[in-house]
Amino acid sequence: MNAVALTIPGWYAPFPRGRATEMQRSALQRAKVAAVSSPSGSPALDERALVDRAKAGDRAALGQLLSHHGPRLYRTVLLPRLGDEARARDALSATYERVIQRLDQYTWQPCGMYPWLRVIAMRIALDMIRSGRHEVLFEADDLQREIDQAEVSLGRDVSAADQVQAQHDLEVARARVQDALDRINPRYAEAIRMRVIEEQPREEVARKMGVTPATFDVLLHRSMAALRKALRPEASEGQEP
Amino acid sequence: MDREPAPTEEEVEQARALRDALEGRGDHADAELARALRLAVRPTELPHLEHQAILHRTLAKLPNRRRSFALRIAGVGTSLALAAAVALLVSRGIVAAPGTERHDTVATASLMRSRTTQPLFDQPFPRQGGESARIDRIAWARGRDYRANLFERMGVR
Repeated sequence: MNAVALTIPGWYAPFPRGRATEMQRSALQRAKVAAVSSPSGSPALDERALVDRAKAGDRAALGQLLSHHGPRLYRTVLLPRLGDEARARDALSATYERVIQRLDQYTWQPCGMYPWLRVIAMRIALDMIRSGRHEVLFEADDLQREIDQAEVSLGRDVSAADQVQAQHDLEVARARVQDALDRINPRYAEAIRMRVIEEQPREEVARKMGVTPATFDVLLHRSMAALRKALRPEASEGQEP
Repeated sequence: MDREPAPTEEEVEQARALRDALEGRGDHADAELARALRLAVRPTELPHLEHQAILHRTLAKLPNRRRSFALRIAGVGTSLALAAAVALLVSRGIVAAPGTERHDTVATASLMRSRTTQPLFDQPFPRQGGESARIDRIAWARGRDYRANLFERMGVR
């Protein structure tokens, strides 16, 4: 099935099928180099001092660290993986609590504190995915693989600047959506893209697709059912007519 | 919807429910999935105030180093005050310092000492009854001893 030409500004660069992984990798590498060579991307000295103070029990220093990294953890790690604002907020809170519990075990790394925080946040998200019965894009196995990769690179990937990792996390989530959309009927993918992702008005999407609003409702319902099948590994033949 | 098969009644019903859920009326499992899709592609920022609230709630659970320091200072101060009070009592001769004996041996010798309550009662006790009376008797005897010791120490006897 041909991929739908999704040109949503700002959320997905439409890589040609089959070359997506390679192109994404090289884009990521370029971003890493840019971020590492950028002066703004190296607040390591200040952060290290804050980490030392936080480990010595300075609550204000810990607050500064979490204030700096928390919103990024929420937006790029927790929210895309948990798919719900309330659960992502709970996960962020749980992440902070675990940080407090384990701060004395953390040893400073040249890549900064963010990769360590990111692994903790992903572990919290994994626990929540395992314990919950909510509709999420990521399955526990997916997240476990991400955590394994993150832990392997933890402490030795000096080039893993915060912004780069955050961008990578966003790209992983978007690629997962794109991959699922690629596996369903292009008409269904188009309906989901316009109505669900871009939140265009129902009547407008129906008009663009050449159907009545009531017919579009049925079309969208079928689209979501097809996407649900495509997201599950056991439904590999989730192609709709 | 030329290319689509005609919908069943159940499909129409589900489609309506999904439409309502997407418009904020009611719940539908696909609406939850739709939200997850949207947030994966276009994640929203965490409002600053909400983040601050989460942060403050969490940090409040962290032991405050300043408070701990203040508690330590208070503990040391209390210990010093207690030690000073003991030293004062010892210097005034009200309490004997450990390992020493008071010089007012006459007064010490005349003080009532702890002793058994056995002489207060005829043995054996009855199996039942009389407990309150016995306790009253003990309390009265102890009170008398206490007052005698107090007056002895104060030198009023």
